Amino acid sequence: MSEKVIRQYRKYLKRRSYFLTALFVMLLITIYFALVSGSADIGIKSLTGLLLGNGTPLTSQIVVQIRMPRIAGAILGGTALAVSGAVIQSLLRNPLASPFTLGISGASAFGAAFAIIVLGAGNSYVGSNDVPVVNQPYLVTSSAFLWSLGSVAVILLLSKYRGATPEIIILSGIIISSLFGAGIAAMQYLADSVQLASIVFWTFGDLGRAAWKDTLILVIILVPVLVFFMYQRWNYKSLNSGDDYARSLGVNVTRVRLTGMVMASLATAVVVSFYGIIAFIGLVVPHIVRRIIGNDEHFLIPAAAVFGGVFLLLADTLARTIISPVILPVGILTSFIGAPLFLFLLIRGMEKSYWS
Amino acid sequence: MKITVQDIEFSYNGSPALQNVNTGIEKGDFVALVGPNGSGKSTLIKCLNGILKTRKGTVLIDEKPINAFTPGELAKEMAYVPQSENRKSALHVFDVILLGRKPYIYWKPTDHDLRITANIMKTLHLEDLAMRDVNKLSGGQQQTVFIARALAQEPDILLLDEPTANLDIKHQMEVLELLKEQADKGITVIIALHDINMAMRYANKIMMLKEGTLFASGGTEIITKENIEKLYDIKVHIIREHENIFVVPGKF
Repeated sequence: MSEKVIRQYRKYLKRRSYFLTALFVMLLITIYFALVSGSADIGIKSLTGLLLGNGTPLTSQIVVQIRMPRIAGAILGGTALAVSGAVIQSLLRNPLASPFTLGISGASAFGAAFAIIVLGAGNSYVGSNDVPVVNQPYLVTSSAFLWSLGSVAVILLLSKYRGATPEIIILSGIIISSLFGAGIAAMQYLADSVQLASIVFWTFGDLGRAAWKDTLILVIILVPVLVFFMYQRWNYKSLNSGDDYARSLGVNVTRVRLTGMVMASLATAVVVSFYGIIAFIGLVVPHIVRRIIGNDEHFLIPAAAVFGGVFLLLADTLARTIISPVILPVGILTSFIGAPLFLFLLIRGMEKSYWS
Repeated sequence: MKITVQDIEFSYNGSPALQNVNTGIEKGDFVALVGPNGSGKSTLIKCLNGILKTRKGTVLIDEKPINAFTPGELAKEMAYVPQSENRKSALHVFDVILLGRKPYIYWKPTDHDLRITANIMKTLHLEDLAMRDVNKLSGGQQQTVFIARALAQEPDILLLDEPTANLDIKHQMEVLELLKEQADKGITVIIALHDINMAMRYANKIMMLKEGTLFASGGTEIITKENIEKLYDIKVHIIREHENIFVVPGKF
């Protein structure tokens, strides 16, 4: 009889892994669409030609130097933001939490702007495709990360006090966001025109800046963060049942929460420092995934990672083509999608259904 | 396992919640903690498993102080069933019970973990609920699931904070019978209870807490009119019928 229960459970695990596989297939299809969409007409023929080593130099230039780094950036950025959102929601037991709604993204953007204007990483010039380029990405990323830790500290201190409800945390996120928003505005006022151009880019996320050298840094930071989250997922599962219960399972609650928040803001900061604020991915993606496969962090974390990549890549491809030849910054598009959803969650009440 | 409580003291932000608590609990004891709301029952339970750090005094498990255990080691000795579980997210029953295997899981649950979970579900007749959402179960079923989760930890000591609080009398008895069986198997059961008659029926040791101090402890001989009236500040009658004693509230 007990064998039957184990079989049921294995079947459940299998269904979840089918879902993960389906997400990977979706990712591949999305990559293909992203490769062939755009103003330059590149179809499956020229792509296979390129793969076989006899593509034209122009196709090769467009695919390898423009579209592919952008695709890689979208996938990595979406993964980072979605996983961070999923983990932060579990850590704070708060369905409205995400890097954007807690102000972590805003703080990172301020940190990036701070590095350019004040720390002088801003020998930025207008690059070949009308996109500002920063010469010292490490300084910008470090500054974004350090400032994001500031907002994390505020949130953790607030949630330490009893009765810090999800609403209070979100309100404090709004306060943090508007504070750093004011900081960015002040920077813009002080900046010269070239610096101004590059700060403006931070306030609405855009993947147009994606280049191979950033991809490498993203991979170097994201892979350890993802492994760390996967390793911690049983701790996150325990936290879902309350702090006291998690402690009784031997979980060091304070350390798990602190390290998780720091890792999530590191992932967010590196994405924001390269691509600017891409809103709502960290909120929308985990919610969609939870709706489909439930709240088990065991699957939620990998599924949010893959689906985050799919979602941002899809959004960016749409942003590139929707009013072609104008290329919209993807951050504007994700805000258009995310804001109504956020509102929907608020109106319907977040205690309902899967967050009951 | 034997538990020795040596002179523990605990306070929440300066206001004392437990003072000078000394006691010894033997392996296989079924201990009921009784006392008015706010008397320190929950606090004592949380001090026993180290969720709360005592300001003074120690808790020894088989002569070894609990702070000499790593949190992971302690979780293999003691399991805790919280008073009310404020679950934010829904999981199915199998997953909830599997969570009790957490102290043994590193990367993912092994076949052994799954087998233990399934066996406990079988013992507690939860198999048919395996894939049901735990939030949608009845109060009695939920409580059984949480006890099953605690048993999945394979503990020597079970700590339960008012597990019968929201249950009707039949389900209260079912839960307590289940715990009694565990005590008979040699697991030490420590439970906070409000119902003194239930405590007398199932526990072999009763500890009365009043304002954070151990007011009285022992067998049913401590259930006297005087003790109960002092403990709760009410009037009661004690009715003796054969070997049974019943506490009945009297007129004020």
